[in-house]
Amino acid sequence: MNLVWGIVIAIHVVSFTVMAAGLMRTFAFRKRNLFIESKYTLLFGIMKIEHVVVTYVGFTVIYAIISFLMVYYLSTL
Amino acid sequence: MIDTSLFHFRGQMENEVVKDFYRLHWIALMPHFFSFIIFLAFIITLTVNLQYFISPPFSVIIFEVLVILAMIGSGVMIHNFFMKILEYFMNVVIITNIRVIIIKKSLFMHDNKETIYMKEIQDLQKHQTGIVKNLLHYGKILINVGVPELTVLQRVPNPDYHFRLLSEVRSQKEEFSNDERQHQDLNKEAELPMNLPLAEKTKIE
Repeated sequence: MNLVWGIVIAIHVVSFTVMAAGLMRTFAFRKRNLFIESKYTLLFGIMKIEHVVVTYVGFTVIYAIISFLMVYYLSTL
Repeated sequence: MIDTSLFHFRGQMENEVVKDFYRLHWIALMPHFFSFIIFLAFIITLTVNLQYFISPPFSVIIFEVLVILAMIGSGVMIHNFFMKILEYFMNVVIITNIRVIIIKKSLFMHDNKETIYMKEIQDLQKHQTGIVKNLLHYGKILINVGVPELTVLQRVPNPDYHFRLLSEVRSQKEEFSNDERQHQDLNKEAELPMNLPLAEKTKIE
């Protein structure tokens, strides 16, 4: 059981690392290039990159919470 | 009206002014959106109905392996989806007064740049064929730079505007370079001393 918890923790450490690396590279790109957005350049005319970043972080956190809860639930069966 | 003088990008030349930039039409992301929505629907259904499933005890090794594989698969799906959207924001086509720069960049795998100078462009074509392309206002712009293969800008949003902009900048550049050439020639003539013999004049030139 401890091994399973260990693997789950490792999966989420990798998950958060990948997210952090991706976001760092995104911000580095934005720092080098200044593009002033308009409704013609945003995704669907409304979505800014900041919205995507917040959603990405939210999804990664929710994914981690659901994973831990699921393993806990299954281990109590 | 956006002040385009505020735009800047890496590798910008001193006298280069950004006219506009665009990203691919959102239709390019639709396959990723569809697969992610299906994945989310599956996960939500599974999580909500978890109590109704008769699962084997978690101590069974195969079940543990399956749960861990599902977890890894879900992680890959989430990260892949969001990275595709972040890459969508990084892939831009910049139109300046001198050139067209096509930046094809991904977060980790590639970082490609293609440049087409306005003075090299011989011909421009706009293709917007099909109901979907006309309803959703996207198409492709083909650029002929004098080589057998055309450069194709795929999934250009609002192709009419970008086609007009490219044509306008290209024609301005053409006029400018013609004027510049004539101006330089006149200057050369003026700089030459009038009393020099023809042979020496040619040497100076």
